[in-house]
Amino acid sequence: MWISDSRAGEAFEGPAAREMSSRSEAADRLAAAMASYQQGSLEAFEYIYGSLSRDLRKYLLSLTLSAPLAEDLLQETFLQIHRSRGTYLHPRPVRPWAFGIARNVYLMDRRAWRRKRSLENAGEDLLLELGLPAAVEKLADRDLVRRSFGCLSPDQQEPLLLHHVWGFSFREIGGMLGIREGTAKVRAHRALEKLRTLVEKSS
Amino acid sequence: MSSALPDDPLLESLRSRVAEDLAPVRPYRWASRLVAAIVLVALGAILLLWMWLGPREDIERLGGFGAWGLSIFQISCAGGLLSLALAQSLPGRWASFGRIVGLGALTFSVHGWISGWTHVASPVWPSTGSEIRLALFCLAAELTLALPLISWSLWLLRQGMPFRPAMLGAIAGLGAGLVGDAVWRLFCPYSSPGHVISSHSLPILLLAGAGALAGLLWDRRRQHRWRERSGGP
Repeated sequence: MWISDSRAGEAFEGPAAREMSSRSEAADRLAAAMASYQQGSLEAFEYIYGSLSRDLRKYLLSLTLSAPLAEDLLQETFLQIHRSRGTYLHPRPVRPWAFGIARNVYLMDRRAWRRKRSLENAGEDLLLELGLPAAVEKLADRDLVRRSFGCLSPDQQEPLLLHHVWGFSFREIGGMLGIREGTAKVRAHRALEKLRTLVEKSS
Repeated sequence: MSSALPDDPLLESLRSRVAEDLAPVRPYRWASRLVAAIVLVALGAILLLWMWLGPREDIERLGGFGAWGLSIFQISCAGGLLSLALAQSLPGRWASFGRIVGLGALTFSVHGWISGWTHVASPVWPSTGSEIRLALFCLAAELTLALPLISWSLWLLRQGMPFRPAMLGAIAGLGAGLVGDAVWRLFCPYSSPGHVISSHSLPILLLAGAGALAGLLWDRRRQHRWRERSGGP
């Protein structure tokens, strides 16, 4: 069986440490699945799909602001993952690699069709589906927070979501967006501050 | 164990497409392929040129460091640049634009520094009346030496998923040109600034331009295939 069920050591204390440990185990399982997938395992592909599709769909939704387009791009992302599976180098983390492919797919589509991204055309349901940092969602009602989020530039929205919602490190975000780690940190920080300011002003 | 979602039509569609082409793939170990390519090209070229032309007349005056040492150093720097370009074809590991451009400029400056050192150590001017002929000869030689490496690098880039194809093509051209120049300087004795700029620096920049153009055309073709596949906005 290619996925190990062995438990990690017992030197963990507290919920934060347990959460980190479970995230680390999940990352290891995903890396093992990728290695199996590269060897030709369909079951491994299904596992990878199950682990990543939900987050990738939300990520593409935040980029495109269009549910039908996000679905199309999600399919294309997994096809690209399949075609580019040789570019994954074990045992590096799989999620930054997969999110990088998703972003590339989105940019390819945007450049090919010269699409413009607009929050005004995004429906209410879509806005609700977008995950936002917990620290921001507490500030005001959901609708106000999401409308304010739409006022941020895409360059600010992405690092904010990638770090505070999907838990990527700024180093990983830099690698996914093709920017320096420090730049990713600054953009996320400024995005959060601007979002707080907008929400407070509107409230 | 599988965490696949039940009754997911997208998964069903993907499963059948993936199952059609599930042959094992080897991970994209570009670093070893790149090193092998650089060593093969450089050694092969040096051997052939040594037998055909013999080393530059002032090689003893330059000494082991000035001749071989500096060429090996330039090849190493160029190899580093090519590695950077190829790493950019791996998703999720893309460096910033400024870093790539900065490293490219820094590596190109190594060529300038080495050329300057060589001229100070052993200044040799082309004879009057033969400047253009020699310039064209050196230009052609460097372009020819770099051709296998730039072709190989661009092919390797295509295997991955490059983020900025035009810029990476330029970096690949720059790296290949620097390797070609590092080899050719072991055989070309002329170190005057005019000759170096027109016949040694220029081909490096031309190769960078050719790489950028190749990257741009490849990206355009990729977008065109995307439009055909996706059918419309």
